Amino acid sequence: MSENREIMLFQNIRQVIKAELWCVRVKIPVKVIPVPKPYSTECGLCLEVSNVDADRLEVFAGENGMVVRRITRN
Amino acid sequence: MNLYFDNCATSFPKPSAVAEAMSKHLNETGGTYGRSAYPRILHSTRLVEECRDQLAVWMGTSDGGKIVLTANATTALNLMIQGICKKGGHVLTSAMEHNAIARPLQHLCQMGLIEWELLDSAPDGRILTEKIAAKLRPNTILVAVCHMSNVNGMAQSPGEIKKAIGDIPLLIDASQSLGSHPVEVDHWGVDFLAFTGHKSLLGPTGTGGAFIRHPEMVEPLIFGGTGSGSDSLSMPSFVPDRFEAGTPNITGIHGLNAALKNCPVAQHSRDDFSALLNEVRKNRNYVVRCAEDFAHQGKLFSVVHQSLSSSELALQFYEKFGIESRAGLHCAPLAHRHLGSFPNGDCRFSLSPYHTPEELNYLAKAIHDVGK
Repeated sequence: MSENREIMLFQNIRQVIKAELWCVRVKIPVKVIPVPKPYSTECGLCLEVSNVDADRLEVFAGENGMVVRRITRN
Repeated sequence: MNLYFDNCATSFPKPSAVAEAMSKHLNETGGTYGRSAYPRILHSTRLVEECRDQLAVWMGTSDGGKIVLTANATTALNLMIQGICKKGGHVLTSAMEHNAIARPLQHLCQMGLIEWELLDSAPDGRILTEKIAAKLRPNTILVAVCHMSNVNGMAQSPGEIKKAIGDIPLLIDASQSLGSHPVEVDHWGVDFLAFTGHKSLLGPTGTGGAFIRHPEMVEPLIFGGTGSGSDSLSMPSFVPDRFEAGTPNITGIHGLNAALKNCPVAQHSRDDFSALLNEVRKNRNYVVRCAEDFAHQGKLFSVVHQSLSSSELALQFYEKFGIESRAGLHCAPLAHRHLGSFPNGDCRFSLSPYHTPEELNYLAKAIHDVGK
């Protein structure tokens, strides 16, 4: 199965950092990157993970009251 | 010998890790909060969020995301008081308030926006919770009280106050208590709380903040960039961003974070402090300002001498014994009116966890000798 990278957009910086911390704790490879311009005009941060890990991360986010938006990166 | 007894103004000394962390940020790591994704900024950003999480533990909440970092408790109180109070509202406060609460309320009153009045209190300032219901009105929009008086160290019971006011929001000023006295915002049902970093938390000046359980009830006080929702000219609706416009005091937050992680073990006990108070009470030339019930006593107290003014007392404590104390009204004229020491004020002593029993004994002897 091929693995795509996904961008995870959060509501604010705190949520990005909390989610990154969780990924590190559960050993999900994660990268903090600036929000790519096509997706937002914001100057903030987002996470890049594999599409497989994005499912787990989305569950974590939902359980912790975070609003997350997933975008598949080509 | 540590003869600094003005820790309610600002604590000293701090844990050595505070200065080290601030120096490291200024000289080595640098970086601001969340504006980009290179390592320098990520380091600072993670640390700011770590600080917020630690503060959540200190104040007893599971929702650290609702902690807003500000320059000090006064800014946080102004944010919440001015942001909550709307025209026609009625606010209740205590007889022991610092001007950080009293002046914003009075300003809004003078603008014709709100009315405010004092809750009934015991002689030491403790709110008589059984009398709160009689003060409530249909338009009461807020009850704002200090947790611990900065004049006599008496600590209120926020949980009991909240029970008495029901759904009306409760704002607690924890400037003197957070770090030295139990704070349980979730357990008590506190809606809003202000704190400072440079007093009992032993952090640097320029740090503090607010816990805002209901951000939808509060209008922002400061407007500007937040690094989020930047495509809109309006402030974000979510916390903490809604109330954190502008670059935070990153260096100060590094220091506060270090303070929270390096809290010293108190070198004196509650019994040592109780013994100090009992010793001071023996001198009949003084009236000692403290809580009637020691269980509600924070780590400060003040004295009024029968003939020496508060400023004369403070001068003698310093010149004869090297003791640094605070004379005057301590920015709390309401409290002094209630306690009967307005307008002359009193002389206040506030302890640090670094004070040893020997230093408390030295203070007791000095108070006795000056007051002869």
